[in-house]
Amino acid sequence: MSAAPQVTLESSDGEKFKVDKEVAERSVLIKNMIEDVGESDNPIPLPNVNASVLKKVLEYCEHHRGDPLPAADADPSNDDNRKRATEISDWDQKFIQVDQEMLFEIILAANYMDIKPLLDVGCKTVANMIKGKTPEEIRKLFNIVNDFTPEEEAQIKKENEWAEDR
Amino acid sequence: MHRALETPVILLLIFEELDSASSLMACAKVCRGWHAEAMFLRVKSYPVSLFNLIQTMAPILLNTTDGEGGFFASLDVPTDRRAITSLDSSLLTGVGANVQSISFDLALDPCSVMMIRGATRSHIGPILPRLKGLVIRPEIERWDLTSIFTALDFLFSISSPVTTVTFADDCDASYVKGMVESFAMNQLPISRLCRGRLSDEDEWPDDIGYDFLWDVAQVELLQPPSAEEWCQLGDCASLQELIVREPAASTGCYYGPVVNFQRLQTLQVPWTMLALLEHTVIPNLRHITLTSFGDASHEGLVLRKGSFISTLTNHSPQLQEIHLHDIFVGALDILQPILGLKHIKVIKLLDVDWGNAQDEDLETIALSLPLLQTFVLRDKR
Repeated sequence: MSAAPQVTLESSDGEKFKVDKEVAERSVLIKNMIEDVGESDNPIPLPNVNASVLKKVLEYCEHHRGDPLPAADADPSNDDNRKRATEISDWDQKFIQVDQEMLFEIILAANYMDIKPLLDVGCKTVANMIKGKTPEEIRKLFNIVNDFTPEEEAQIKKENEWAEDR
Repeated sequence: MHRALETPVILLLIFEELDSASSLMACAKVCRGWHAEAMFLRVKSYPVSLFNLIQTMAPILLNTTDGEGGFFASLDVPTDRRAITSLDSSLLTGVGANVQSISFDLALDPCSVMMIRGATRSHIGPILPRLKGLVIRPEIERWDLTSIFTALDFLFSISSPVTTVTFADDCDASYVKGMVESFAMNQLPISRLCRGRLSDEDEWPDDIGYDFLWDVAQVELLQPPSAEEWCQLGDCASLQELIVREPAASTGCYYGPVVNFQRLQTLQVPWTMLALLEHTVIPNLRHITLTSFGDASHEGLVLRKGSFISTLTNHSPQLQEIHLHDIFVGALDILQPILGLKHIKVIKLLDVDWGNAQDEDLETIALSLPLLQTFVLRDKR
């Protein structure tokens, strides 16, 4: 039996990762690059993803290598599609238990490499961190500076009057 | 702040996962960079109170008194309403572009609606062009239907396709009927109707029935229907999707005639309606969701549930999807009748109580369905 075809990926800091093509093609970006350029021994450069993040992303792709790919034309406004996307498995929950810096880097990498299921897992995790918190608690959690001017805050207060729950 | 939280496309994806308007409002107040995206989703995804909107633009204190002369006579004439400014108008037309659902309230008087429309006269087209849903509260019954349609016409340019009408708890049945019929007569057929709980002692009146749902394809009931109401729903020729949200207090008994839902394709009901379901035929059913297993789980009932699944799969040859919520793994024997069936393509077991069961128990089910495309299991949290 012949070995599975492999491709080499190169991170922004020059580290090379040799992985099965099937695993790499969990990324729509890489899948399209391979289709456009054809198979080659040259490493595929990923200038927006460093080695530690790429290693983590590939761990995800390896675990999910056999999963069906999300349909490219799936309507995100369809409630069922949305629900499917937001169900996080036990493995994914453990996988995404990383420090905040790594969590956001994984999200950016998943967005850049176009790995929708991983992007969903990351965004859902951040959303779970936000739920139930006040604006001040959210600022503190993510180290965000309140940059509203007093005038802007007054305007927001006015908007809030109609938008608050009743 | 990490740069991911400054990227609009990422922010939108995160905010889409939030499950409440209050969480989105909290995000809107965090910083400038988050405000626009959070507000966009807030007005797009959750109903906006029209009363809040108008109070914000032109605050008034309404003092309601019950008197003779109908609705208009019951409101004191507002005298301390300030003039609407250009800022108010731009706020309304700006946010209005994304509003998809609004709720009506008692304190919104038709004069306010006309005043708003006057202030936004220069705006071309409907103020709320994406409006799809209305939430009607029981207090609004004090509005006559003509006033409601005047308001709709003024605010939304009535060509806006309002398709979902939600009647909050305690809305009077005759009012619900009158509203639905009026929408239809105004060439605005409602396709989805959601009905809140009835008053404690009330049942849906026999003389009202559901004959008026001639255009409505989807019905959602917060409270389980009585046997009589179930039969009436079965008579709705256009009904394609029926959802019953909450379980009844007891499973009850049913000795009436068989109910036939001729066009129904999607059904979501609690197991506590088993007695009714056993006397129901749904020949075109494609998707069934059964909830609240734990509320009706003694041994005799578990056997009846298995028997029901067997009958259902025999009488509904187009059934493709089965979702079971709030079930324990030991009770999955009720799925025995579907094993080997080729038309079952999706099985979802959600909020499962795993107990002492092994993976193999579920693998047996999944592997015994030759054309199964999706198998989802989510543990109870």
